[in-house]
Amino acid sequence: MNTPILECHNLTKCYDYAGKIGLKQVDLTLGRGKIIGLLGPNGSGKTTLIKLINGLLTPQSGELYVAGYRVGPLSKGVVSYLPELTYLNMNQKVRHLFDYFEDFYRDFDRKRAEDMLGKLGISTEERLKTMSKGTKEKVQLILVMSRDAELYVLDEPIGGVDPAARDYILETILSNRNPRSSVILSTHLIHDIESVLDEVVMIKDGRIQLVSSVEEIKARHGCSVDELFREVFRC
Amino acid sequence: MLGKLLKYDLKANRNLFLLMYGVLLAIALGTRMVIGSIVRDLEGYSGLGIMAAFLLMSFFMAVVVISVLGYILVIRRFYQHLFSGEGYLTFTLPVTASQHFASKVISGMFWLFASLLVQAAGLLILAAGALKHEIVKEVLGVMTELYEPFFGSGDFVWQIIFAVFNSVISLMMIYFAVCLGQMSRRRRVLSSVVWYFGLSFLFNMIAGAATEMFINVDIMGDVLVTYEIGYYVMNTVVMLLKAIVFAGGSILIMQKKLNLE
Repeated sequence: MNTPILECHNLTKCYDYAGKIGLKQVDLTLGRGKIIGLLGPNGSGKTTLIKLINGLLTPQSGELYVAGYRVGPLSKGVVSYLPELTYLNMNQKVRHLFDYFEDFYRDFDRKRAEDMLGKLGISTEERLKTMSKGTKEKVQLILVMSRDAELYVLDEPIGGVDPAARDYILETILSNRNPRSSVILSTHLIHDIESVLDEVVMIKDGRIQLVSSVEEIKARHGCSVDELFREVFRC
Repeated sequence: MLGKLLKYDLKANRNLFLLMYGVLLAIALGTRMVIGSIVRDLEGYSGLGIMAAFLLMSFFMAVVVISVLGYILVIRRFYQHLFSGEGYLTFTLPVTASQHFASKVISGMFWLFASLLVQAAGLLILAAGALKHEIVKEVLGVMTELYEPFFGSGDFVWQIIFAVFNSVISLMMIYFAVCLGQMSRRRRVLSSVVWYFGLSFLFNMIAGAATEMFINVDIMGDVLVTYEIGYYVMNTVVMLLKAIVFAGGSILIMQKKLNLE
């Protein structure tokens, strides 16, 4: 349990088209039990790093370990991932999705999922295609946060939602993770999440610009994370 | 985990397949009943005869539709579950690429063979108790003529075994072409189609060259294939080569070259 939750050594991901580079020789080590903000403007490499963590992209070079495992079935068993897009089959009922998660993830807590769903007044018999976009996103978040994972990787969970939904999402994340687990949360809406973050990783043009605790930023730079972000990424 | 994957892969298209089977068997039963009425009641023959002809045509159309749609559903499941948005969930399951591939091959073959069985059952329903009737006799005659080269040649058991393995390998080749298509930046579906034709051409050449060794031309100038043990050994080698390339290549792409963008 002392192994870092994430270790990247010289991690590089190039996209085949137009010589676009997603990540350039990234070295990064993140400890356990923290909420980490992965911050950067659009196209900076946040989603590329997240997809590499989840094995949805393969790097050109470098090494990546999650909870001490190379990316593969073992690491996937301990990571709970919320992508930017809706990845669920729209024809399915919520009950079927719970069955699916229960079958494949040992750490899926069905009772917790049903409780969360009940609080939103959504029936397990409802099909996804009958739900609004916001409700679908909430169901997806409930599935992800009902796992007792070692690492939660949430890609832009609060992007494009109204402030009330934003509060619900952050509350769900905070109240459902256990203190030993880590959360990597990518966003560019820093002001909204700053209060919940323990650490930040700032990324620009595929390179890590800064890895620091929130307290350290305040002490060293005398400003908030949001203010520092604006300074680092000034156009 | 393979068992769990299989459970969901089999369930994915279950309703559509069962619906198609139901329609085909209903048409077969309807046709059988109309043909039975013609046999019993010759006075109403002309009206019922038209209906029988229509139903018979519908039956054979349903057979074709099931064959084509069956493949489309199986391929769609492979593509959608692995390489569309759903792939974000599929590839984050704690499952190996080889388990994903195996599950798709087994479930795909299950439905394709089930379709064959249902088609055969439909034919049996048509033929049952009406073998004396001219229409059915004629149909059976055509069918026998069509399949005679297959059933009549060589060792029947070997031919069946080869047919089964060739079906599995054909499906694996389609899956491999889909995987290769995913490596393209754009027009991935079109790229998969191009890969499929390229692979078909290449492996047909290899299989053709392998078969050529066993071809003889008799004194009448007819081309004959000698079904000797060497022929089967060579075919087995070609089949194994295909299986290794298609399965190994697909798994390797899913493991080492996956790029869900």
